[in-house]
Amino acid sequence: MPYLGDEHTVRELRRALSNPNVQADHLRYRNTIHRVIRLKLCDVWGQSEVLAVLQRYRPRGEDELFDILSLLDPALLSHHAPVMAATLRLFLSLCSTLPAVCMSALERARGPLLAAAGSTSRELRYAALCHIQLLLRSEPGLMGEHYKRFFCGYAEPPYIKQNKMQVLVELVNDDNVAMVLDELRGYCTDVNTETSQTAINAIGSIGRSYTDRCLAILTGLLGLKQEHITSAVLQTLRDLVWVCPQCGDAVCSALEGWEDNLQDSQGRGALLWLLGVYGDRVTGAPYLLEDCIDGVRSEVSAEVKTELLTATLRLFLSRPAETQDMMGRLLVYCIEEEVDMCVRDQALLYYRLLHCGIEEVRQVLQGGRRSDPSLGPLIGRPPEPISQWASSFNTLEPLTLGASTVGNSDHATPKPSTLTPNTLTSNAEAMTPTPGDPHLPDCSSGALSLSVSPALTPEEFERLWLQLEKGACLEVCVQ
Amino acid sequence: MISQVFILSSKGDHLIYKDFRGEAGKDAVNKFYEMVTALTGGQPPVVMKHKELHFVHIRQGGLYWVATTKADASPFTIIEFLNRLTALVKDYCGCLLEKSVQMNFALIYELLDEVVDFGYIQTTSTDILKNFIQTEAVSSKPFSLFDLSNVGLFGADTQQNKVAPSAAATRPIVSSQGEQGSKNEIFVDVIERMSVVIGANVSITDYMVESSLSTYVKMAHFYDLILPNIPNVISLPPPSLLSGYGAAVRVDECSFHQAVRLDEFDTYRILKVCPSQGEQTVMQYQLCDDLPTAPPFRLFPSIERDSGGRLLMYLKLRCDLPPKRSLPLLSLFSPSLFSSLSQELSSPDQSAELQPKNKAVHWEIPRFPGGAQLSALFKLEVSGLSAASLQEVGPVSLSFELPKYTCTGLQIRFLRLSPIQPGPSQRWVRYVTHSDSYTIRI
Repeated sequence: MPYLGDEHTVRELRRALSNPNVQADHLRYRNTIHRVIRLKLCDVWGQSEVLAVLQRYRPRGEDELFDILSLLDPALLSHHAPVMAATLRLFLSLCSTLPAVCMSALERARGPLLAAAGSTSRELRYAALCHIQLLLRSEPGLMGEHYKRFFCGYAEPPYIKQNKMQVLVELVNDDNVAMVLDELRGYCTDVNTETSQTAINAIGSIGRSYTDRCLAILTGLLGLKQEHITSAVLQTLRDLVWVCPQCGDAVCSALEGWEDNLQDSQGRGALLWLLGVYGDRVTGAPYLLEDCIDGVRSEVSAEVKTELLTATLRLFLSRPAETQDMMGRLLVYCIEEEVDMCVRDQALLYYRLLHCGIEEVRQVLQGGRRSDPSLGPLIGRPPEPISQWASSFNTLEPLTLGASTVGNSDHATPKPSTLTPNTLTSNAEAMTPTPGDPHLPDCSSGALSLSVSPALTPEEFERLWLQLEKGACLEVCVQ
Repeated sequence: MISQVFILSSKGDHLIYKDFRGEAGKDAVNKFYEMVTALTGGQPPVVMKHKELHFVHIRQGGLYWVATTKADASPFTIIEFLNRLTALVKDYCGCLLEKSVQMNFALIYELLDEVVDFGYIQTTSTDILKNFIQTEAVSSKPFSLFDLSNVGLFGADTQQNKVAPSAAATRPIVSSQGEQGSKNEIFVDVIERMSVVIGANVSITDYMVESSLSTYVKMAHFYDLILPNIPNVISLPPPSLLSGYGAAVRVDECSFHQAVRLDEFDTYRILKVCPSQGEQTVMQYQLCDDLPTAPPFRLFPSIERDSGGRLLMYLKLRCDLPPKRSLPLLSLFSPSLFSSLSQELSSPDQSAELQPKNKAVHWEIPRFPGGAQLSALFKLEVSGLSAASLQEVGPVSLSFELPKYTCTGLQIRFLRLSPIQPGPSQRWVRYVTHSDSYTIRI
C-alpha cells in the first residue's frame, strides 16, 4: 500500500475491507467502500490498488451502482494508463448486465487508450494495442475514424507493426479501404520479411470483402519477383480463392507464363495447389508440374510431395493426355522409392482409386467442396459479447496471446492440407476442411465406399496384435 | 504484485537482482535471458511466460529491465512502473547506461527497497524518495565547470549566457554539497513528435503530432526545507478545441497531469502546477491532419535506369522552414536492395553510405538552412535489374530534430514562480520538434 500522508487512510481502509467482520456487516462495508472511492489524493499506484480491491465488491442495488460509477467516472479519462485500464475493467465487470453503460464506457475510454497506443514507450504501445484488439472483437466500429493512428511508423519494431496491421484489417470499411490498402501496399516491400508477409496476409484478409482491389495489388506484387513476397502472395491467393472462387480468372492470368523457381516449401505447396485446381485454364500447367515431378527425388518437404500428388491427379482429370505419363512416373516413385509413409500411403490410395474408375476419382477429388463459414467475408461477422473478454482485460493474458500470434500471423486462415489416409476417421476440425478429402461419408456410387468407422475397434486390434507370433503377418479382413 | 526485479545488460550480465516475495528462484534470470535471446524477429514481445511465472520487460539504454510476477497483474501497471524506474535511475545517475548502473548499484538497490514493499509499489515520486535515499550518485562523466560557463571572456555577456547545452538537463538532480548544485533550475520542454506519411503523388496521407509539455525541476536541498510547495504558473496562448480562425492554436485532444490546477485555464489559458523534483509531464496533446504549417520537408525524387544497367536516383530535398532556422542534422534512409553505390552530393560536408545491414542508403546532412534546396544523385548497382526494381526502392524516411520550432504553434508566454524565490533561479524553455516517423513514398 502507498507510503505516506493520507495513504495511511488507504491502508486502514484496505485492512477494513479484508476484515471478515466488516464484510459481514453490510452497512459498514458499504460505507468503507464509499470512503475508498472518494480518495482522490492517492498517487497512480494507490489508485490502481484501490480499483483492484474494488473488483471484489458487489453493489447492493442499482442506485449504489450508479453512485459508484459516477464517482469513478473521471478516472476513466485519466491519462495514466494503469488507472484508466483498471477503471474500465471495473466498469465492465460491474455493468455486465447493462450493455448500454458498457458501450458508453468503452467510448469514453477510447481517447486514453488511443493516447497510450501512441506513447513514446514501445512496450506501453504494445499493451494498448493488444487491449484495443480485445475491444474490437465486440465493437468493430469503435475506432473507425481513428484508423490513421494505426499506420505503422518507420522505426517501430516488427511486433508492433504486425499488431497494428491486424488492427487495420478490422477497421476497414468502404470509406477508408483505398487509403488502408495503399498503406498496406507500402508495407509489403518492407525490409523485414515477416512484416511484409503479415502485410500481404492482411491484404488477403481484406480481399475477402474487397476482392478486386486486393487482387490487383497482389498480382502486381508478383511482378517484383522477390522470393519471400512471391511465396506469401501465393499462399494468400490460395486462401482467397478458397473463400471467393470468383477470383479464379485473375489468378489464372497471373499464373500464365509462370517461370520462377521457388525455394520456400510453403510457397511451392500453394503454387501446386493452385495449379491443380485451375489446371484446365492455365496452359502451361502440365509443363510446370512436369518440372516438379522430375525434381521430386530432391524434394525434401513431405507436404510439397502430397500437394504434388493431389495436383497431378486433378490435372489428370482435366487433361489426361498430357498428364498420364508423368503421373505414372510420380506414382511409381512414390510407391516404390519414397521413404515417408504418409506420402507413400497417399500415392497408394490414389493408385487404388484409379483402379476403381475415373468416375470415383472425380467424385472424391472434386465433390463436396465445402467452404468453411468462419472464413466468410470480414464484414458482417457477428461481434462477440463483451463478457467473453471482459475478465481478461487489464491482465497479462491479451499480451501473451498476442505474442503467440505475432510469429504466426496467419492464425485465422487455415492452410488446407491433404489428410493422410491413416486419419480417415478423424473428424477434421471445422477449421480445416480439405479439398480432395477422401473422408466423405456420402459417396453413393456403390463400387467404392469409404466408411467412417473402422471395421476393427482399437481394443480388438490390440488383442489381435498381441496374439501374433513372431514372423507371422496379420491378416485382417476389412469389410 | 511484483515478484522480482532484475536488470540485465544486453549480453546477459546480471547487474541488479532483487527478490521481493521469495516466490521464484534466482534461476529465473537465466531463464529469461534464454527466452529473450531465443526469440527471433527483431525485438521480442514484451510479456513472456514460463511455467507459472510471467516476465515483463522493457529495453532502455541497451539494458533489459525485467519484472516478474506470479499473479495475473495489470500489464499497464508493470510497464508504467518499469518506465518510472528507469526515469528515476536516470534522474539520480544522470544517464542510463550500463556503466552508470554498475557504478551506482548501491543506490539502485536502495531505490528498489524504498519504491517497492513486498511486491506492492509504494511510490515513485522523486520528492518523497529524496527524503529517504542516503546514497550519493556516482556520475560516470566527471562534470566540468566548462560545460556551463556563463561568463564570457572579460566578463562580457556572451551567447552562452542565454543558451545552455542540452547536457545541462541530464545532470543528476541530487548532487553533493559544495558543488554547483546550489542553483535552482527549471526546464520546461515542449516536445512535439511528428509522424508524417507523404504518398507517392505528393499528397499528404497522414500528418499527426503528439506532444507533451514537461517540466524538469532541480532545486537545491535547503530551499526545499523552507518552502516545500513551490507553485509555478505557466501560461499558454489559447488553444481552442474547436476549429477557429486567427492566432489560436488548435489541438484535437489534450490531457493534463493530475496535479495541475485548471481554474484559470478556460479564460486565460494559465496552468498552475506544483512540480515535483525531476521530470514530470504536465500536459499532453495531439493533433491530427489539420496542422497550421505544412510538413517541413519535401522531396522530389526521380529514378531512372541508365544505359550501363545502373539505377540513377536523383533526390531533391527542399526545406520549407523560414530562412532563419537551420537544422543541425538530418539523416535519410532509403531501403533498397542494391549492392554498391556511388554518389554526387551537393555539398562537401554531407556524406552518404550504403548500409547493407539495413539494406539502406543513408544520407547525412549536418546542416540544412531553411528555405534551401539540396540535391543528391545516387548511382546504384543492381544485380538483375528489371522493371520491377524501380518499385523496390523503399520509402524515404527522414529523422531530424528541429530546435525552437513547434508545428502546432504552441508557445509559452511567460513562466512565473510564486511565491517569489529569494535566490537566483534559472528558467529554461525548450521547444523541440522531433520526427517520430517522417516517410515519403517514392
